[in-house]
Amino acid sequence: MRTLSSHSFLRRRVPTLLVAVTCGITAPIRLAAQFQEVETPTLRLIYTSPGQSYLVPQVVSTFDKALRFHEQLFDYVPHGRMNMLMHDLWHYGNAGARPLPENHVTIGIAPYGHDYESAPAPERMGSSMNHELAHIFTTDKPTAADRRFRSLFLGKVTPNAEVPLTIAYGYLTVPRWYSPRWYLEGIATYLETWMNGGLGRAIGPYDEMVFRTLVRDSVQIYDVVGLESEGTTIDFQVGSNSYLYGTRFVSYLALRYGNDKMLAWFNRTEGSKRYFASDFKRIFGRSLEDEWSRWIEWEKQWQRDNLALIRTHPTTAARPLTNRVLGSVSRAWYDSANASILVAVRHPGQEAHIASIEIATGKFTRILDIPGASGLSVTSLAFDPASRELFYTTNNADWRNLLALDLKTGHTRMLIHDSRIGDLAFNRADRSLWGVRHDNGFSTLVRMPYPYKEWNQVNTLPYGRDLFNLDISPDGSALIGSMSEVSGDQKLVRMKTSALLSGDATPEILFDFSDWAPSNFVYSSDGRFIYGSSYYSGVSNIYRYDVERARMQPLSNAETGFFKPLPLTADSLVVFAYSRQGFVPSMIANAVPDSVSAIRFLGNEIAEQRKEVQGWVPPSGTNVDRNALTAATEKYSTVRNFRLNSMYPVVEGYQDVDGNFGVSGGMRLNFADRVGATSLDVTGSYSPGQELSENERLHLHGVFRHWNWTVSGALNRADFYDLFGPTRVSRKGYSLSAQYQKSLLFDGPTSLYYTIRAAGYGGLATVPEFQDVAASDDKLATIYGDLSYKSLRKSLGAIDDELGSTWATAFRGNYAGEKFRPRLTAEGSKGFLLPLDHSSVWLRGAAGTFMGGSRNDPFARSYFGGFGNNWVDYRGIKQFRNTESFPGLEINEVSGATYGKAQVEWMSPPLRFRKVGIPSAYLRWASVTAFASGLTTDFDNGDARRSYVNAGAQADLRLITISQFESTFSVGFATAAGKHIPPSSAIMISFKLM
Amino acid sequence: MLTQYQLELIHREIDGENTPEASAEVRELIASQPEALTLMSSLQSLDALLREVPNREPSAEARRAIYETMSMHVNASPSAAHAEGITSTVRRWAMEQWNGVSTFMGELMLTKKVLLVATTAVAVIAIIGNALVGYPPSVFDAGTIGNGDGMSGVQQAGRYKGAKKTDADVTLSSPEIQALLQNDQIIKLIKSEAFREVMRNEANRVALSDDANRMVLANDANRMLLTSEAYREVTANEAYLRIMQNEANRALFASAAFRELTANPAYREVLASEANRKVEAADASRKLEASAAYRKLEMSPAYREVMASAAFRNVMASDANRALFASEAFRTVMANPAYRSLMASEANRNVMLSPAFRELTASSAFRVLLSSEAYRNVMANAASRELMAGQAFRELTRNEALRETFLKEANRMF
Repeated sequence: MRTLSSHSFLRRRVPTLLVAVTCGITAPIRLAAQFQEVETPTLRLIYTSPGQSYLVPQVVSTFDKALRFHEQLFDYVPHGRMNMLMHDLWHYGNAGARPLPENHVTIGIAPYGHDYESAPAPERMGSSMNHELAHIFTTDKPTAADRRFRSLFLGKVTPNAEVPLTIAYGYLTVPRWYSPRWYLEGIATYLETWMNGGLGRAIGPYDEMVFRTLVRDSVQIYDVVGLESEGTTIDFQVGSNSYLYGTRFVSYLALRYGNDKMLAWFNRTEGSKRYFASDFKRIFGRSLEDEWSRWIEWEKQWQRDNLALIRTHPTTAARPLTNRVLGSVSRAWYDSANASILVAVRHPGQEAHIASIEIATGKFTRILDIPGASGLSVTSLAFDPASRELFYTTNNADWRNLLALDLKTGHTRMLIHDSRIGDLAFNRADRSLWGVRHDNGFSTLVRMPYPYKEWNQVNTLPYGRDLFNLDISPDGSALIGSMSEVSGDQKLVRMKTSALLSGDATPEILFDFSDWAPSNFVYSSDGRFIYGSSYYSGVSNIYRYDVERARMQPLSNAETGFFKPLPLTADSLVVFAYSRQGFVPSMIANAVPDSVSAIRFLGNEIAEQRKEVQGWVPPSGTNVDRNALTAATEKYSTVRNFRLNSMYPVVEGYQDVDGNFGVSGGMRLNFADRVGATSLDVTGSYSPGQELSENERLHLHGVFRHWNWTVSGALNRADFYDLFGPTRVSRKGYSLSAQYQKSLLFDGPTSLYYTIRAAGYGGLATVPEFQDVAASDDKLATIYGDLSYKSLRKSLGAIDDELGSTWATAFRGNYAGEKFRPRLTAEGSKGFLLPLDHSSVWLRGAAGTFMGGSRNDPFARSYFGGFGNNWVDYRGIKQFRNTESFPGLEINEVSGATYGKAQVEWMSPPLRFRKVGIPSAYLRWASVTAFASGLTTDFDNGDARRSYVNAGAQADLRLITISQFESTFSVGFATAAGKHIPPSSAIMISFKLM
Repeated sequence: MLTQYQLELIHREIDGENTPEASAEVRELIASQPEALTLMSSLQSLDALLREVPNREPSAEARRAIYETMSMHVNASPSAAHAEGITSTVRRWAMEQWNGVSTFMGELMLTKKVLLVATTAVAVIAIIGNALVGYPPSVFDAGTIGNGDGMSGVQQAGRYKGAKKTDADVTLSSPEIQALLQNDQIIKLIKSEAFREVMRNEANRVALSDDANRMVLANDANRMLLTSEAYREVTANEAYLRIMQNEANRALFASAAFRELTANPAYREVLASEANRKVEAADASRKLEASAAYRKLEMSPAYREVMASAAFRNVMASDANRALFASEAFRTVMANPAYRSLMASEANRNVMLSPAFRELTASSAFRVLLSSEAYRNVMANAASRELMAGQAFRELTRNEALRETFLKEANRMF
């Protein structure tokens, strides 16, 4: 699996994907019309563009092989066809899987990333299938008890924050889905490696380096709780740690106890325990924590032995340029004008940015933030030393934009939006920029002539071959790069630029590093040498290729790993030395070391001692009838794919206008299509108690979504969270609304949406927007429209958005009693990240005015007051940020036909917990937020004008339950005062379930 | 070549660690693969010799050097120069010993005594290696310093290798069409309004789905013509483009007489004739005019009607036409056997006769498309021409869904 791929990844990214798909980047109807669907007896493949049809046979073939392998290994045949959504939304290939509500795999077709050889793999469809189906088999396989619950709920239940009981239902139907990410990624990566013929992280040089470095530097290896609470949140490896630790621990188990015993832990057979940690104890006879500790001791010894091997020969001394650890780094360039290196960095606590580091002093200067930085390589960077223009890319994980920064003026300009081009290289001879474009699964070498407003195809590589880490000789005559093949083999190649431009892209192999990839090779300024790195000895060392003599020589014997060399002088070069917290720019001598010894790999040891893994190869001989697939392909049909996912009992609360409270019971039905663009949720419940009047005992609520459209209806709407209060959404009467939402801009973290909604209400007792505010009429028709902009960013390891801005303007017209009451509101916010990591300040402002009708009519006014949190909640934890909130006052205590509001907020850096809890429930962080607000209502009416101020703080404690649910316990206090009201205080206590 | 598994099987057999089933597998392997037999024999000899070698300590000099090296590295290299000096000494010593042994072995390999010396040396090296490493390396970790394919001074790390994926493991459906769509010029073309209009044009759809057209596309001559350099030059020629846009030319193409003419067997015969190919030469011209086919053609009403038509005269009189006729590329195409064969084919005639083709060529969108720079760039693109000449393109034209690929590409969102 790739560095970011996983079910957990999918949890985070699929919503983004579906938002992109659902809300539509441009026209949803056109988008929907593009979707294609093809079915085989075991697979339902949906893909987002007919252009991807050429990959269908490969997907079907590799899926079938992986399916047959896993069926045999786990002795299980999944129920029904597996769903797969294939798309081209990401810059690098990736995939994810989930067993809910049906078995589903999402796969991005772009070529894989190759950073640091952190996830070696052969042909990507096969690799992805091998990995993702492991997720499906380890999470979906049921026991008889699981099957009974699936029958009871008419399917597997997806946890839904609106109905928290679904946590329990989901656990009963798919218990192994409720496991930490490392558990799921560990086995998937382990199996994938052997299914790929040994190419994978289980024999990964990057993985060996990570643990070798931890041992060398005597840094604590995360325990099983610390990994999840801290290792996957603040470490610069973030999500990658799940793969690193998971794969390592699973490999250790296989080596120590054998594959049968290890696999038994992942196989949900009869008699196995639902919870993964409980099942560990059943199988291995000791607790997971105990065995994890034993693994750490074993790992330390393994790495000490490898360090001894490296130290067989003198190791290379590296002089750090700065005492600052940079986290992840891009390729670096030398800026002779300032005698500094230019590099993009990304580390926890601060947004990714381009920086310069002076060679002589190590002075670090932040130059420019990079929105949408990617994991290990941050951005693609190229430099024109003559004009001192720096080229870089944003939205690096998605469709990359190409921009330029003029270092002389600091001015940036967009060159090509959605260029999808990375691996930039600059040709000094003709000022052209070169790069590799990823589109529709192909890698295309492109050239961008000055002024870089368009790209021209130079050569499109056949599917399965990729070119990356480009550089161009100083005289512009040759282009070098790393070229990977279907087999996963990678070679250092050279091509003449003149030949390329005349259509001859035949590569010349400069050096074959055999099983180990060449990385980031670059020319020296005189063009006589090429410098790069390779794990040739198992450790990433720097190598020098003599162009004239065609000879490759080592330049280092590193203990951890050296990467991305930048030749400076004939005597020395800058390298990036791996350290536990990221990469350190360092100087090493341009000299050949005495000798370099190879290290040992855990994966090799497994292959030797547990030979059965050598036979873990997907079956061959799948014959794909391409014509039959073509004939079976049809347009995706929402109707055909619309079905009931699950049905389960619910409990809700309802409060009538007199404050009488009822508890109701009922059922909820969830329908959806297979790409999640269309859904229907229907909830019906009944309050049997006598507290409520008879016509308020039946509660109905339904929401239908279809791409950009949402239609909802309700009768005496009730809600689970109204059982707790104090905020209540239950309302007497009936309502029907239709809404259309569309994006005008959708570019990485920046978006601009508009929303139009029309709604009708009948039998009203309270204003739909504001609880406890009596309606002036029992019928209401509303039209609403808004325009909303958002550009929010956060640094690595952030717990909340840390900087950026938002603004929105909205119009609402309430028509009741033959009167129309229009209102106009506007709000905005701006956040700044402070020098203190993960600490930021936010400024917010809002204003609104009625535009007609009586200013005292409740349908014309806006109401304020309260924190906004419920005792038990599912919405955002910081409700005080909402315009209608005003902690210190009672809910909706004050109102105005016009208003102006301002707020300032300071977010403290979070306090992290490394080990507080057990694997199934542990604390992750705690943070404090302080705020102060000012509110003026009816500012246009001297007599009625009122002003209020408040100040308060909120403390939040994040805990993880059942391995994956992010719950938060919040406590807040605020005091408010105003000229016309006595000072008042409020305490808020809330528990957000998920 | 023996696989890693087979090598391991043989080694285990020598070591007596195989199960009866595994031993049977070894026997079968030896029987079927001479390479396995050779390896087995040599290992057995070596094994026998090694068993006779007593456990020996390395020489005091070697031990001292190695221990010094080890202790130095444990202490994190306080003096790089010192460290380098010692390591160099060890390396030189080792190299000298090795060179001596290898030279000696090269000369006297077959003598039993030398074999004994050599295997003893191997055993000593193994013992020293074990002392250094602390455990035997995995068979997949094995590496050598300065091996033939590698780099001097670097021990290559081993890696377990199972079955490798090859191109045979990749099954795609006409990827060349999608690869073609990576061309910036083609993207510009298909995003152009003119192209979209042509693709939406019913006549175009009918023409593309026409049996005759498919036969033309499947025709070898057509394929050869499309991939020829001369054809590329003609279609990229300014004069040609002007002609294609020319109103008179369109009228000529659309005329019934022209269609009849091109359908005339005599006309095709003339086009296919050797004399026509060499029509530049006076001799050939005379031969052509004297040929029965030409005379027959001249007598045909369609020919006469075309010759007399204003459209034809306008075409012939246009500068563009003269420029085109004068161009070397045009003459090359005319002389191209593939072109002549194509023009003479029944399928081509049917295409020219089809109302859809006529309607298409008469449409303004078609003319705009042909005159666009993007179109010219595409026609000049080698990959594009190869595609049009290939099987995939023919499949494209046969398949309703695929036929819409280009149009869909123009509207593609992801």
